[in-house]
Order: sequence, then structure tokens, then C-alpha cells
Amino acid sequence: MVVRLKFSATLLPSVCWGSEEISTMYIEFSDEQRMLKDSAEKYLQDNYDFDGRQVVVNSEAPFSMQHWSMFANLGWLAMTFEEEVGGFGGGALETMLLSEQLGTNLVVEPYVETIVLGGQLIARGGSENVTSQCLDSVMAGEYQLAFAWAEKHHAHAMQDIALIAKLKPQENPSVIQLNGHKTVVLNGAAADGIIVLARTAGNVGEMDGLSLVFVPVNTKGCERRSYKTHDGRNAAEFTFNQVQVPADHIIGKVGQAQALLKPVMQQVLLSLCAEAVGAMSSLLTATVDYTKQRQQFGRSIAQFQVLRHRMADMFMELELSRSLMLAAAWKLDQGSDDAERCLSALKAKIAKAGKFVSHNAIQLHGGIATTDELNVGHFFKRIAAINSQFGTRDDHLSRFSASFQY
Amino acid sequence: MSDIEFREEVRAFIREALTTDIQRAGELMTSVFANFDATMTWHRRLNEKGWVAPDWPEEYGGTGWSLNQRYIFQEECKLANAPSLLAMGIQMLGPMLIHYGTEEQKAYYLPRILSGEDVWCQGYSEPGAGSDLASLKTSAVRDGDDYLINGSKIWTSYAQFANKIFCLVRTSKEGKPQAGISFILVDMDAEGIQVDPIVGLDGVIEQCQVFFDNVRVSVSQLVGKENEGWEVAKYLLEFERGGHNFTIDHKKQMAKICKQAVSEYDSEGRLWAQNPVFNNRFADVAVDALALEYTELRIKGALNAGGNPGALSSLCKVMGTEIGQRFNELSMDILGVQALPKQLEALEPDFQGEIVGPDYALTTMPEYINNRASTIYGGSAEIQRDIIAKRVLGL
Repeated sequence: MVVRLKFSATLLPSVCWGSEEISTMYIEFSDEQRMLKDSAEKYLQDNYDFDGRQVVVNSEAPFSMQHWSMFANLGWLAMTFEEEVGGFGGGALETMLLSEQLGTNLVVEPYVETIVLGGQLIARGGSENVTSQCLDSVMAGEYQLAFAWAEKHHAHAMQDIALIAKLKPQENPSVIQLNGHKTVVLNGAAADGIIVLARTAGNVGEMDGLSLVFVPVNTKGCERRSYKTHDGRNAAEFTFNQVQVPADHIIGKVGQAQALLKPVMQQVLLSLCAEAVGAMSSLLTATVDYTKQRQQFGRSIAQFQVLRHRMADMFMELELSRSLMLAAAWKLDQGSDDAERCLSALKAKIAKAGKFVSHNAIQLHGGIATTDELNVGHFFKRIAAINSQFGTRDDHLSRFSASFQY
Repeated sequence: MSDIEFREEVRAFIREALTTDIQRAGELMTSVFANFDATMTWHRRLNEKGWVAPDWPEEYGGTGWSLNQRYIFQEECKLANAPSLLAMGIQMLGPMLIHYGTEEQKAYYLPRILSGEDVWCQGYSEPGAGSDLASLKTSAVRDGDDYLINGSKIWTSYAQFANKIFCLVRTSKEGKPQAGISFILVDMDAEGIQVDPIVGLDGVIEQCQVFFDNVRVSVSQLVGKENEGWEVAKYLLEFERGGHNFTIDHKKQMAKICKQAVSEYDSEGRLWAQNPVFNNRFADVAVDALALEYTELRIKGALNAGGNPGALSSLCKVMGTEIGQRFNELSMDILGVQALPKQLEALEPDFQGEIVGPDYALTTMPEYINNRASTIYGGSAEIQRDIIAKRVLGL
């Protein structure tokens, strides 16, 4: 990986926040990274047309296994796993490049759920037993994962998790026993194994005492109710009724889910935001093309200044988002202390920019974009789904403002 | 020399050369202009050091610095509260003369810009030609080896101090409006020139209207060919737009807001810094400022790699000025009535009297007022959006 960014040390006076100062930002991608981007761009443009996507979305299938197998064959699924476990050792920049292409092409396959989130949790914190059960098949495209964390009325704060996982219950000290319910588990319908955020100690409202537990969905007592989501993806409700899994199904350390979740969630935020950037760029292109050819009042509507300015604003929101995305990816790969703050800025920006671009794409297309037939509305729904996940605009603005050096 | 060493060298120089009186003029800036005398003193000190025109080629008096070094220099000057130099000579006319001027023009004018002997103002806008600059009517009619200029220019910043003006004038009414425009250099003390000051909303005179009544100027003062002034002007406008790093200004604004927010109390008796609604509004703007910072870094990265910023510079102009205005609004909200005392005399660097209210409140309202102009000058926010629509989006 070649990342050429010029740095000088911490020189700005303390009045300006930011722990470092970059003089220029020029990310020169390595040959491998360029190949990844080109391969994703080419494969998806040639093979991932909107009509084909809609056939899958409107079917019973959670997504296209055919595409997912191709993603595996192209090496995308193994890209960001460490070489020791059979991956290619890619980092945040690879996640960013690939996710952006997935967003550009409105891909419904569960890259973020199975690879960026579930796969990474297991790769980083799974026991020998868990890893050997699924990691190779995850990278081969033969095993699906999902992260089950949200609970009814508690869809924003992980510390509010109440589902109990009892370690070493009296009836069988070699297992973990789960009881409770998880809601809107994304990719839950397709999942072969889920990672459950459960309370092994402490009280509701505390991050301490939360543990991650790997549960194969066919475990006795694990009930699933599957459904589709508005953005064309799949999800499920899970009920755990005296579910027992071996004690080594704890991912990471008991009671310390946060330690493992933090770095993985950073990659998840980046992936989702990069997907949104891709979606926004597709929407802008579509809107520009459409307004040029749509005739009203005897001319193309692209000649009306109010629309031209709106599209200029869409362009600016997109490019500002892209700048934050590049900076966040780069900071993550550098292991910068500033990455968390930059990601919150990015997620907050995406929330605003994503809405602005998608709402105006619909507005400028007019009625046709309110139908199921055109892809514009489907990009809009995907952006809405991204905005609903892992922190709203207000959440991330609050986190960002916590970094103010008052 | 590493960038870090370079920065140290710049700081050492600034510590020595930027005396308290000049620095005070920088602190008290409420627009892109500082007190004129202090500005010119700083200009001359930089010239003695050979640092007054870092962007010029070395053969004409530039510094030969890398892009990074130029950025560091700009940043250090601003962070030290040095007054901004007048852009009209160094940022605008200089690069344009270097590109289009004759050898005689370069040899005569460039050293005088560097030394500060000539103070230039910009004669572009007219009462009837603002955003639609090409509709300008001030005429230059050939009379032997001279032109006779008639008409008027408006929004001419610091014309009251300038001894020279560069003008766009109409030399032909044939063809497209752009095709009949020429670029010409004029002495402000030429017979027939009258300067009327315009009082700004803050009560200060920065702008003027300049009237031309049969002003005689030699043909040799034309820059570029007759009727080809539009091309020259466009080149210059790019320098005007591209030559600004908004991030440094934003960081200074944020630092000031931070200071105000830990000193002032809201309607519930909390420090503003503890008001969550205020914090989110502040964060909202700060996120955009951060996004713009990385956009500016992307542009610099592209320039370093030999690329072209393209219309991203229009993005920077729009976002940079709009973000600056949003920061102004936050400061106004923090201060409440404390922003209202009008203390023009206290904005003079040599003011010795007592200021009403805290020092950090002195410039807030004038800045808020003056920054309304930032989205109008240098190609309005609407014109920039037109440029993005046309050149980037191909609309």
C-alpha cells in the first residue's frame, strides 16, 4: 500500500483542535488498490444492472448467491482479513474503495454485515472453535453472518442492552445460556451464524458487562422470523429461549465487548459512509443526465437556474463528504487518535449530505422518481437505511463537539 | 530544509518583525483589509526579507518556496495576527503582468509592487455591471497614441489609498460583449479622475466609486492586446479565487468562538460551552469546516502532483465564505447585546482609550456585517454555482 501524505508534526497552537496537521492530502493508491477498484467497477457495471437487482429484491431470496460467489472469486470478501487467516491484509482504504463501488451500483449483497462487521469480529476475537467453524467459509462466500444487538425501544444505545447471557449456568457449566429477543438483525434472514450482544454482568446503561456471543442459527431454542427491509435487504427478529452454546463462543473478552467493537465499528462506519458517497455520486449523475434530456416549457429543464444551482449544491455536498471519507480512511489506516472524531464528522456529514442529495434527486426527477420502477428512489432508500444505523446526525455531532477544546 | 525547520524559520522572523502595533492591526481586522498604514509597514518589512510575494516566480522577486512552504508561511502569518497584505498588487496584478505584460511593463511595475511604492486598486465592477461584468460600459476611445477614458467604476476597494488602478474598459462595441474589452493601467492622479468614498454598513470606508472624465492614458499601458482584456481578466479572477485558504480563517474563528463560549453565559445561566443545542450548532458548522479543510488539502495534493484543482476552487469559494458567515452568526448569538456598541475609534490599532465590553466582542458585529460581502465579491456565490453547473456538471 502506498499512501503518500505529507506530514509535519503537531505544530498548530492548541486553539485549533485536531491532534495533527497535514500539509497536503494526496492519496496515491497502490497497484493492488487500483486493481481492486477497477475490478469492482468493471464487474458491477457489466453484471449488476438495476433490473437484475430488482428481480432478486422482489424474490424470496435474501440476495443473489451468484453475485456473492463472484465477489468471493474476485477476492473481495477476503480482501480485508489478515494474511494469517487467509486474507489479503487490506485495510480501511480497501474497505472504502470497495464499499464506494457497492454504493454506486446499489448492491444489496451483505458486504458490511458479513465481512466488515461479523467477519472482522470473529477474525479479531473468535476462539479457535468459532474461527474454524466459519471464517474460511465466510471468505469463500459460503457462510453468512449478522450482528444482533438492537432490542425493542433500544435501537440507538448499545449500553442499554438487556438480553441476558448466563455464563456457566448451574444445569451445564460448560455452556453459555441466552434468553431474550433481538430486533432488526440486518442480514439476519440469510445468516448462518449471528453474533449476539448480550449482558453477562453489570446493569442496563453500562457498556461494561456486555459480551459478544457467537450463535449458529440452527442452535436449539434460537427462533428466527425473517423479513425484508425497505432498502431491499434482508433482516430477522431472533428469540432466544434457553439457547445454549459452548463457552468458547464468546468473541473477545467476557464483559468487554466494547474493546473489540470499537475498532470494528470504525470500519463499519467508514464502509457505510463510503457506500453513501457512491450512492450520492450515482444520484448526481442520474439527475444531471435526466435534467438535460427532460423537456418542459419548450426546453431542457437543466437550463433553469434554480435547478442548476440545486445540482451545484448536490455536487458540493458530495465532494465535502468525499473529502471527509478519504481523510477518515487514511486516519484509520494510520491508527491515528483523531480517526474517531473524523468518523463522527463523516457520519454526521453523510446524514445531511445524503438526505440533501437523495431528496433533491427525487425532486428534480419529479414523479417518476417516486415509483418503484426507477433506481433513484432505491438509492434514496438505501441512504435512509444508512442514516438509520449506528448513530444519527445528532449523535455524531454530539460526539464531535465533545472534542472541542474549550 | 524540512517543513518543520521552515516553519521555525518563519516563526522566528515573525516574532522579530511583527511588532505589537502591527499585530494589533491584524487582530482588529473586521474584513479582508487591515488598517492601511500598518498593512504597508508590514508589507515593507516582508519585502526587506524578500518574502512579500511568495507566489511569484523567483526571477521576478518570488521566494522559490514549495507549495507546502507557501501554505505554512500564510498560516503562520495569520495565526500570528499579521495584517493581510493588499491583494490587488501582489495577488492579482503581479501574476497577471508576469503572464501577459510586456518586458517594459514588468520591469517598471513589478519592483514597484514589491516595494509598496505603488498601491493598486481594481477597476472591474460598474454601477451597471456587477455579476454580468462583460456588460461594462466605461469606454476607452483611441486618440493618437492615447486612449480617452470615460465612465465609472464601483466597489473599488482602497481606491482612496491607491495611486494606480487597473481597469477593464470597452474598446469596441462589435461582436460579443466580451470581445470588445481591454485591460489598461491608469495613474490615479491623472487629470479627470475623481474618487468618491462609499461608507460601508459598519461605518467604515473601504469601497469607493471612481469616476473617469476624459482621462488620457498612453496606449503603452494596455496589458495584452486591444479587445483581448477579457482573457486577462479571467486569468486574474482565478488568482483572486484560488489564492485563499479558508481553513486558516475558519480555525481562527473557531478559536474565538471557543474563547467566547467559555466566558459568556446563556439564558439559563450556563456557559455557552455547556449548552448542548449550541454545541450541536457549532459542531454542524465545524464539520463542514473540517470537510472543507480536507478538500483544500485534496486540491493542494493534486497541485503538488501536477494536477489542476478545476472547479473545486469554486466549491472552496462558496463553502469557505458561507461557513465563515455561519461562524459569525454563532459569535453574535453568544454575545447578545454585547455585540452592539459601535466603537470605530477602538478599531484603530493606536487606540489608547477604554473599550466598552470584552476585547473579543469588539470585532464581532463588524465582522458579521462585513462578511455579508464575502459571498458577493470575487464572483458571487450564485456565479460560483453557475460555474460548477457549467464546467463540472456540464449543464
